[in-house]
Amino acid sequence: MPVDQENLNMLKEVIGEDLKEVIEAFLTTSPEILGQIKLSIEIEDAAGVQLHSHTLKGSAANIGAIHLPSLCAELETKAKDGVVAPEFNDMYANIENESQAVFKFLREFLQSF
Amino acid sequence: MPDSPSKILIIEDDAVTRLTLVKVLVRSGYEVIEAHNGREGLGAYMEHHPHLVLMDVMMPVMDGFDSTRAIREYEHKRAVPILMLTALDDIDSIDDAFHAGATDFITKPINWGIFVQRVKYALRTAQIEDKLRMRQAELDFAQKLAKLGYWEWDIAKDQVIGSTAVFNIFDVPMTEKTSLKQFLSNVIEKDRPILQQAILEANQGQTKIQVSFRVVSHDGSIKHIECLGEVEFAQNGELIKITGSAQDISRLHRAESQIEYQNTHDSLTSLPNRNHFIKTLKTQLQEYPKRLCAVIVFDIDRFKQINTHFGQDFGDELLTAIAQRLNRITRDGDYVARIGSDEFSIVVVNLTTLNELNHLVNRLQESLKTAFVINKQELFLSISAGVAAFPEDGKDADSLLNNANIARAKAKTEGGNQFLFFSSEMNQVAQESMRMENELRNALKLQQIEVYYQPQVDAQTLQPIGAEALVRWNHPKFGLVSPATFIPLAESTGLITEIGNFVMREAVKQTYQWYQQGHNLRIGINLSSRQFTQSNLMKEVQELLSSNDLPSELIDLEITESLAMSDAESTAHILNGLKAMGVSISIDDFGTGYSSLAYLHSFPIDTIKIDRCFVQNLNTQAGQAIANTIIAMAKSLDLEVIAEGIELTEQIDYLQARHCDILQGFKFGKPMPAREFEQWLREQPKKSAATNSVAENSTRQ
Repeated sequence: MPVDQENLNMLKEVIGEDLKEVIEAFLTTSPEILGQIKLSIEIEDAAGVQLHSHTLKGSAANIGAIHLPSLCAELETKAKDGVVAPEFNDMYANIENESQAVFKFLREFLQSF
Repeated sequence: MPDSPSKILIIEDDAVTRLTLVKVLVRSGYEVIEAHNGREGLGAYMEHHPHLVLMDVMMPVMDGFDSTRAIREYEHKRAVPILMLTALDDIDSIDDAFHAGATDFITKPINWGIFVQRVKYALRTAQIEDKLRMRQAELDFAQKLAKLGYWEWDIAKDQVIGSTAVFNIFDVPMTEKTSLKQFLSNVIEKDRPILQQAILEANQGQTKIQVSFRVVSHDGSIKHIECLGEVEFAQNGELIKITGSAQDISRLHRAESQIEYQNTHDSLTSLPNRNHFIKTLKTQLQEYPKRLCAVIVFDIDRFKQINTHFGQDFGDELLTAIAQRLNRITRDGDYVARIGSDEFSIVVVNLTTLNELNHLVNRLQESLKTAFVINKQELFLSISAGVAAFPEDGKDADSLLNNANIARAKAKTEGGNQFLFFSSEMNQVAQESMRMENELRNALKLQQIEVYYQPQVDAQTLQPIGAEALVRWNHPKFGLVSPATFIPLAESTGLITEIGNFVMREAVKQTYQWYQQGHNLRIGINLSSRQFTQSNLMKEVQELLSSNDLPSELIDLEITESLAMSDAESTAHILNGLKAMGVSISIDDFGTGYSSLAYLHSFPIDTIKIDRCFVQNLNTQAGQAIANTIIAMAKSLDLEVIAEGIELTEQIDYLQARHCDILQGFKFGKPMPAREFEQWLREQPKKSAATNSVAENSTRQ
């Protein structure tokens, strides 16, 4: 399970229908953030990598993603050193894959709304 | 929940999290403001004054820590809760958040179930704190109004705690550990025993203390403080602590002093009144029975008329102006009082001689003589004064004042506008000089001041070439009064300016007469330092020059060497001005001062006059050497030399041989009135060289 279903339900309890809007926002903004992480790695902008992976981490944690936040955290921590290392590409690939899984889950969740 | 919904500011860069937060909070009934980064957040905070802030830590523009710090700086009196949103694993940032001023933190991922509760609690706590702070502020304010402070001294720990106000009252920094000694460090030295006594009494079982003392603030002001305290004892009777209040009662104190002040001072002029005057005089005489002192009383002649003519307000302002002038001209320690409507009195203390008193009286008289300007109206006062000196003129305050009043009454009956000393025997010197002074004041009017002329001759031809104008006082009783006697008097009273100007005008007028009769005489006129510094000398000379057609180079203004050097810069200005008008300038008494000839040469001078003492010493080698040097130096600087005090033929011979230019002395003629001088002129054998010599002089530049 890429997302904690319980967390989503709790959020749904608190904000009801609005949860749909939140998820849709996540589905819209997250691909953009992923693109920014990728770009930052390409142009070797470590600070950019750090910031955008941090944002995705928070955003993903917010909707209850389980693995994605920790993958982002790893990359964020490495980027704090200030250097874009070759391993970043692999780490990014993992984040990308996990993100797709989260997106897929959420789209399905939305349909069940 | 307050009546209107609480405002919450969300500062979060991640759109999804922000959106979620907004949704959650709006649903819970809050008003929400969003900001995308720290800087925007700070702006929103200033604009909206939210009740709570949710702050993300990591943001691209101004992170959460800086933003929190900025908010705390911006509004340091209100403690609006700031909840930091931070990852649970990020212990460092939690720590940093607290340091920056965050109230609490909420970990991400946010547990939405308890999130709203956390916000609610934070808001409620803040409200309670606000209320408490408000109460505290009200209490502080009330205490501040009453200038009241609360304090507590723990004796075992020797620690003083208290309200902010009490530390302000004692003007000591509010620290966590303040000892009694530190706390009382600004109590003035003299009053410390009062406090020591109070503590001692507490130690002896006194349960309540009440003390008043003074504290000197750092700005130098003195506060009067009253402390009330209750003493707490342990079972064994040992002192535990003293608790109490402190109140700044300076105003009360001032009010009491004010009443005392009003009872002893005149409200119009702020001078001490008659009661205070008598008391002060008595104290002075008792405390210093051996010391010379004096009482001067005076009033304004015809003050009633001034009041009638100009009105009461004008009279009041005049009295105030007099009071101010008196305060200004009296010395430190002298005491000025207003003892009646237009009556003033001065107690002059610290006198060493009666002459000193005389000087002070002169100065007083001089000062009161100058115009008072009230409502743009110039007013010259006529003053009648009496002076009585202690102990000669009275052994106690009453008799001294009485005798001063007698002298004043006498001054008034004798026409007013004068100062009279009481006793004739004891203060003969002072009285004598006072009378002389009064007479000198009238001497000009009574035409007792005359100008005498002493001949000056060409050193080579011995023909008349000019004269020095000298002032004489032809006193009806004493005959000719020596200038050595009355010039110092004239100088100390300021009459010298009037006399000097009179001499100058008179001498020029006379010289012009002679000029019209065909005598090209140059007139030497002495300038006093007062004329030089206090009157408008240049204007005076200008008027003089335009009053007749006497060639200006026939007017020779003489200043002494010491005058020239006293304020060299301003002297040079005036001399340059005079020189530009065409008059000639001499240095009188040359060689007696400290100046060098070379330095004097920087002034626009034409002539130096060798002092008579050098001429008198011409029979000695040293005297000759000095005269030779002065003449040689003057010649080298192209200055004309006049030798004064010639009495002997040998002196003439010697100075002729040294090419001295002009001679003056009894040998040729003593100072004499104009008619006699004319007679002298007629007696001189005529030689054409005389006029030539003057012509040479006047073109020599």
